[in-house]
Amino acid sequence: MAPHISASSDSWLRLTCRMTRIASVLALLGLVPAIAWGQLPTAQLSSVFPPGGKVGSTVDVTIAGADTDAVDQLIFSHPGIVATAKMTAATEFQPAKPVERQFTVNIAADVPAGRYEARVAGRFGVSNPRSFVVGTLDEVVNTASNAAESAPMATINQTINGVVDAAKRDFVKLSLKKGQRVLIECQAERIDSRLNGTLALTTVDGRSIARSRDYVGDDPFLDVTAPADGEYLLALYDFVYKGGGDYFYRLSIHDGPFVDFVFPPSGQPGTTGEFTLYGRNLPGGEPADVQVDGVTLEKKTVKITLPKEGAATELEISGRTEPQTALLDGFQYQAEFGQRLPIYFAADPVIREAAGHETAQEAQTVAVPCEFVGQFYPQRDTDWVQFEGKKGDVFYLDLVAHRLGRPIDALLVVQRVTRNDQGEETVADVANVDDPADRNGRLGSDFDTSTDDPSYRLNCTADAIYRVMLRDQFGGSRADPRMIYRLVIRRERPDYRLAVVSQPVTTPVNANLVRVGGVTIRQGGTAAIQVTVQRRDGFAGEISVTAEGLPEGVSTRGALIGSTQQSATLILEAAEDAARSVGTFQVVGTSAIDDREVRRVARSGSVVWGTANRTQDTPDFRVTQDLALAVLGGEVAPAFAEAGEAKIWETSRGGKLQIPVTVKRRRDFKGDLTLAANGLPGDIKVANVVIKGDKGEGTLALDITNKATKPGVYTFFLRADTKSKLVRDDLAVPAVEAEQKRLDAKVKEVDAAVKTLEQKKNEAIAAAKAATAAIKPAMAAAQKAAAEATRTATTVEQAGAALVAAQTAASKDEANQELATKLNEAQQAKKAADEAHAKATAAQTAADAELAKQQDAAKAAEAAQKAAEKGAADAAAKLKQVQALKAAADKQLAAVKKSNAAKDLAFVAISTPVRVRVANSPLELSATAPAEAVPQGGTTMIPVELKRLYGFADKVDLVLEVAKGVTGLGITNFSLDKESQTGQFQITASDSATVGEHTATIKAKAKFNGVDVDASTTVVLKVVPQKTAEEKSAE
Amino acid sequence: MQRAFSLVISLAFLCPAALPADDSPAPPGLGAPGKLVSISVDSGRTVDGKFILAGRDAHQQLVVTGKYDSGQVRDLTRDVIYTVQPEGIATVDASGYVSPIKEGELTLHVQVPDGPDATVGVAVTNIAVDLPVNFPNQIVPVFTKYGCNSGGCHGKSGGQNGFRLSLLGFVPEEDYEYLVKEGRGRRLFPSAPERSLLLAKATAQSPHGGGHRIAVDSPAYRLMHRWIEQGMPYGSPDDPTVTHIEVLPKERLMGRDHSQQLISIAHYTDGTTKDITRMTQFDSNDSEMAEVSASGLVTTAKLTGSVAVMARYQGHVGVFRATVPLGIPADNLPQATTLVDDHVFAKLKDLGLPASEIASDQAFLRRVTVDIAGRLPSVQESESFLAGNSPNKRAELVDRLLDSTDHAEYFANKWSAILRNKRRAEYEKTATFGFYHWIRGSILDNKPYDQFVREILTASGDPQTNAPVAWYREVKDASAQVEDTAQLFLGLRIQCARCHHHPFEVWSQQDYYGFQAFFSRVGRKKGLLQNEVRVFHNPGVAQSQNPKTKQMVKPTGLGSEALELSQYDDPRHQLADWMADPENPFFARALVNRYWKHFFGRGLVDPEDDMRVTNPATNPELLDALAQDFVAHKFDMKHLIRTICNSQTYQLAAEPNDWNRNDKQNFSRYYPKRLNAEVLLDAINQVTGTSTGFSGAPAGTRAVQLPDNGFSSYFLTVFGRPEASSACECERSSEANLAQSLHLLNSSEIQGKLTSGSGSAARLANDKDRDHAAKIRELYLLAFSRPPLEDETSIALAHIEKCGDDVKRAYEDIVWALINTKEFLFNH
Repeated sequence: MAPHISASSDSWLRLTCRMTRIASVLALLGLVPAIAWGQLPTAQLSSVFPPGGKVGSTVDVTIAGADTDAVDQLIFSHPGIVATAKMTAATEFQPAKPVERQFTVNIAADVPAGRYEARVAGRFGVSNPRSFVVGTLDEVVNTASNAAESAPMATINQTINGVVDAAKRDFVKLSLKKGQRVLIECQAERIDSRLNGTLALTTVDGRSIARSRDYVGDDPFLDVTAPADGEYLLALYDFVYKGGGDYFYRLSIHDGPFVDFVFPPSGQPGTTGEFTLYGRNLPGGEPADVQVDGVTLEKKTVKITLPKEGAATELEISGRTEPQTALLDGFQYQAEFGQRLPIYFAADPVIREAAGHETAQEAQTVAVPCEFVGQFYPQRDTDWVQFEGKKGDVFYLDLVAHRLGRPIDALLVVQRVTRNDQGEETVADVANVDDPADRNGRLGSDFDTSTDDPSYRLNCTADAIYRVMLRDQFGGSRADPRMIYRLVIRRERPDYRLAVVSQPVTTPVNANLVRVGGVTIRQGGTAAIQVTVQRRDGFAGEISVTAEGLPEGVSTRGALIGSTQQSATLILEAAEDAARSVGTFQVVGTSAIDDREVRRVARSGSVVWGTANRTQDTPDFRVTQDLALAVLGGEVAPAFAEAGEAKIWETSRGGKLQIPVTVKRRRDFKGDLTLAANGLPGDIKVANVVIKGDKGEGTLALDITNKATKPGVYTFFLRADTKSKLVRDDLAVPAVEAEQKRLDAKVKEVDAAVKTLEQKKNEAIAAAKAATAAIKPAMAAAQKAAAEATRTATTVEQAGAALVAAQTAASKDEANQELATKLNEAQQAKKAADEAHAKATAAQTAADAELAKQQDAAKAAEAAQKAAEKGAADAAAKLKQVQALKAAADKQLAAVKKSNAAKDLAFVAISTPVRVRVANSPLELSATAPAEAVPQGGTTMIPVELKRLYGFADKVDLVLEVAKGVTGLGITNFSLDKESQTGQFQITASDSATVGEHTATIKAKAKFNGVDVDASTTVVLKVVPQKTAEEKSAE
Repeated sequence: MQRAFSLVISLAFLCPAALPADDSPAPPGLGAPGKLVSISVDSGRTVDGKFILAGRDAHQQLVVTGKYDSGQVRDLTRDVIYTVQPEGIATVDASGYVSPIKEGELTLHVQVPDGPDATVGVAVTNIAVDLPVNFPNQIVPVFTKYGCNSGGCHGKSGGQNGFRLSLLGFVPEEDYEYLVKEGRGRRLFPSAPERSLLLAKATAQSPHGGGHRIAVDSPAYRLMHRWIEQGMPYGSPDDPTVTHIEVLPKERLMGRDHSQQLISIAHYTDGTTKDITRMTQFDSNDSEMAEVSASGLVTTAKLTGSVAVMARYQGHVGVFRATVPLGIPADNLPQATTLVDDHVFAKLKDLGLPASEIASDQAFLRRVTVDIAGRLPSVQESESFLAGNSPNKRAELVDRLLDSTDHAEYFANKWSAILRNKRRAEYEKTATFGFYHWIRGSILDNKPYDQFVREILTASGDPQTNAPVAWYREVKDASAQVEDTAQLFLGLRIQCARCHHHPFEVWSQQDYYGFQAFFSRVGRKKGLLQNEVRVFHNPGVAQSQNPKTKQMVKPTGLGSEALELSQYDDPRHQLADWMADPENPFFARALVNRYWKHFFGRGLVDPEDDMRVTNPATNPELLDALAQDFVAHKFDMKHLIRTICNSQTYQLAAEPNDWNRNDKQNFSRYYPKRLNAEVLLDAINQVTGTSTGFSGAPAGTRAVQLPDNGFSSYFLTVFGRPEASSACECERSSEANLAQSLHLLNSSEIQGKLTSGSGSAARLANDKDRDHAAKIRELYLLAFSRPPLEDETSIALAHIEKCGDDVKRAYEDIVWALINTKEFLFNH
């Protein structure tokens, strides 16, 4: 993708339908960071770590920053890079939920290597961008060691992602063969890290081999050829030993190509030309005759086709682009081996610096207009160039060097060389140009697009040779072929560029505070964006600024930048029902230049690192690839101030306007609002509009009664810094409450189940008890039966013995009746005994069976008891689990309630814009020329009509003047009293009045609220000669 | 904290007596002169056998010199008898001071009792008719001579009690204004000159805060009286002015407790000369060596060496140099190895000053490691060096140390202070760290010194991209740039000349502003970072205004011709060219002298950044030779260090012999010097086996490695770490004070290091594998780079024995005792 500054409405992600999910996500995010400055929260992204990944891979990243607690999106500037939230595993009581601040990023295989922008978005809007690099090497994370002794061996052709800790160094080892060359690139500052990286390569016993810092921007780079076989120690650390999560880096150790610079730096759009890449390990490269830090660079010539006209006023951004470069035009050339290089657009033919033009006498002659490109190289280089100028020619000499991203402070000396008849040269210094006049004042200001580059409007006062000396004032101390310049010598061509910064507005209590962030707008609220204009070649047109690609529900009334103005504030307004959304948009200006409508898309910038106190620490800004806007859902702005009724107010110098201001209050906001005008020039001072808490209306009295006020258009807004009892996050408490409620229900549900199971368990215990009890009598019966059986068995035995004795006795005395009877009785007894025993045995069997039955029953009851007990225990455990979740939710709720308790939060109410057109005068004068010529000696009247505008009603003095040399006219000047609109001049021509058609200028002068105002018009007065006596008589 | 104090006492004898009491036998000095052969009478202005005394105020000091058959020459000015013939024309007193009486001619006869004689003719003129007094030539020197216009009196800015004179009379026209016209002319009464306030005050007849300065009727009184009488003439513009002064004799070999009369002669633009001996201010540069009286009589004391007497008159300076030999045959000198030895040994021979023995290997190892690398040798280094038997092992050690990053860090630490790499706020770290690393890198790469200086002086840009710009951060205005450049790179202190003529030097305001013109186009722009400065060449005519004459002065190297530069030439490059010119008399000398002082503790010229005619080198030939060699080797600093450290001179022992213990300037032995603050702290850490954490620096950063002085440390402050507030090395204090002793003996910082659980004492106490003797040996190697002597071992073992089970405590005591010895605290 070509990351032009562009956006379409398609880029808007509709998120309304996702609100529910977001709410539940929020519910689970317990940690709320301390609100640093007591302001309404806005998402601020400090890091995405690792800050990049290999093309075609998936990377787990962690984000960090203030107010990122409710982030649910990680958005990239390339559609091929997609992030999804990392989820926890689902449990019985909780569904899978996003892991706070963690995402899985998928980098498609077709994403070109390079730097992209990542933003987070969520409950608190959209953040500032952070760089995310797509690389081509294998990647590892956090492998470097803080101790040299335990430094791991680094793999060549690998990228290490890491973070430098305070007062620590990150170490890796390299194993190199003698003569082996490796390039060690650290990306840090240029990918938005705070790390001022320093690389030091030593032998393992500490002998220094090479050191670097600030080679590419503030990032170090080493090109090392190993002096001997062996292991080397590479240390990476912050130059002043700072560190922490904001000090992330990507360290690539490779033997691939690296381009240091391309020359020429510019070409004409739509042309194809030869460009030379200078660098290292260039495939097909040959040694170049330039050196950097003792290394001879290679060069390779390539053909590059520049995009056609149309792209010519755009700037593509790949690497880090500093604010001073923001207003150049150019594109990114993608070298065949990955690196993207900026090539700038030249309006006129590009002429390269030839060798040996280092003195005035040897100045290189060029045809103008042109773009002369060269290098401040070698050390203390001075270049001379000259061209022919004709009297009346106007050229703009614009030296572009600092704006190419190099720390060059160029000096431009312009001389005019004339020759006399003898051919002797006379050299006159025309100008000695250093920094532009605004440089000193703007240096260090926010998104400082000012520059050290000199530029000069050359008005050729004679036909002559104009000679220009170019020098880098810092060039005495360095020999660096990357110090490239473009000397643009163009004819005057008025034009303009716009720049905007997405910088959250802070309160004046913290005037020194600068926060990072994106443009975030609350429902029913406004957002202010500062638009600055760069006027070129004396361009003084009025510029109308608006925003394009805004999401539904967000609009702007636009801003007008008057011809004397350099900036204006563009106010965006969101409807109360605007849907939650995140996307990009553009700020666009239109103006008329030479009757053409010229449209320019504003370049955007962002705070990279803010500061708690700008007097201690300067905020850092850069150019961004796009401009993002988020509409917060579910939260209305506490106040909406409407000023100016969406129209362009008109008055003139001296006029007064009464502009109605209304305030809508929401979210229980009842505070007074003191609205102060912002964005008016110093000569227009306006009283603050105070609207008390119980009022909704006020009036802005705008008096243009300062004599110094210039006519023109002015766009400004009213701003109130106030505070209100506000909740940091309206949605947080309900979301956690819902979760708590859900868990509460779950607790109840599980609790009921536990109770049922407990009941069942008790029953089982009772049953088991009964069953166990039942065994006892059965056991006793069985024992009794067994005893009986034993006893009967004994009886049987005794009866048997008795019977045998009886039988024996009886057989010995068969006739003995007594014996027979005894035998019989014995037989009877035996039988009875047998029977009794049989019965006892049967009884025993029965009793045993009964016992076995009872025992089985008891076993079953025991098992049932165990099961019931387990069921009850399980249920109790679940209850505990869910109760713990509930308790956590309670705790979280308490925390969220505490952190979201309504408290005084400072906020800024920004009104809708007021646009005022100030005319020069409230007077419009018209006069009617006499229908007939006035003869000498005659009299005529000139009626005058005065139109009074803007409420002007006072006395007006009228004066009629004729050109010098016209004599003999008696003029009665007069005044028009209050409110009077017509009058007339009486002109009496004397006999000798000058004959002819005379242009008479009628001037009206008045004071409008003390300011001198005037108007004028002209009529033609014809004086004819006096009629002679004959003519008279002829009549 | 209670320590085994007895151990300290018992160990104290180990320390070599660095500066023992003076109990040496009397040396022979010059020795017996022999027989006086002849005498000569010098006036310094004798032409054709006579000199002229023109006017009542003309006087003449004579010097009578005797020549002996031993070749010696001695001053006999006060040992002879003066007679005049005829009498009544002039008188001569016993000190050889001739004063006129009336016009005429006479012969002055000088007689050595029982010895040779000589005569000189004298013509006295201009007595009958007084010459008009010339105010600048005659009156102003009176003010100077009597201290009226000194910086402490009327010469200070604003004057004293309402009366002001230009400092040391460098602006006579102002003095004239103040005296004659200011105060409604009340200071002078031509009609009654003696009632003039000027005379009444000077003679204390009127109450005078400055007391009685001039006696009534003294020559100075009479001169001023006559000047007032004459109606206070200023003098005519055609009157001659002084071109230079001359001091006679120029140099002399003198015995101890001897004296030498000097004559000071002024030479005028009209070719005339005048004796100004009693109008000249004389000062000795080493009053321990010799003193000089107001009348120019130099008297030596008991020390051996060189001394210079500076003579000042109306902005002109002259010098007398005396050498006082000891007179002992210096025949024990080792074989010279570098040019250093050639010149030092020659001097020692001249002085008859025997050198100490060559230092032991262990002393040399510790000495050179501290001096080159700013640290103590490690145990391994000591072991291997002491065991090594390469004949070149000392030179190899020097090479190894010079090659180390330790050397770069130690010297970066040194340069960082005098290049004023001072951090005042946190956000200045990028600049100060950057400058430090640039210096460190320059030394590591052995960047030629001229290039090093050029890169600093010509620095343009911002400190982020060009680190040496940081120099201009602290050295802000043109005056500071001039003065730091002169002091740091030329060894000249010319700050005086900013407001007035340098009192002890030839430098005038014209010289000062000519030099300042080199910096007149230094432009400054607001920097990108807070308080950062960006330096650039602001095109335009390079020139500075002499505030006195209001004249614009072009860039001019000191003592050179003014340069004509284009408005687009950055004059700082021309300044660097001028400095790096092999003929430049200051640049190379200043550096070799600075480095000499680093290694020997005393500059050949001392202080090292106050090089001037009137503060000559103790061994000028050596200074010249070192400077020439330095230039010849393209300003190679490591070569210079090699030349110094490989010399036998550097390798002499610190222990004195019978004759050289009082030698402080001839380098007949190594002068011990206290380890500087950073080295000492690192050394203590090394011996105690601990480290000192510096907030904001990675753990393990040694004190000498700190990139700037913004890291707070009580230890470093108390031991004299410099503040980097000036270009003067003197900011680093090597003085000893009570706070230091107390800190070493009895502070929680040192106690913490001794008792640290991971420190040496704990480690050695827990080490069961070695016997105590081996561990004691290790400690001695750590602290002193030498094994212990037998009784040292036995004392230590006895102490361990005494401590019983508390072995750690015993080792703590031993370590404590070691670090409190002079042997440890000093580099020797």
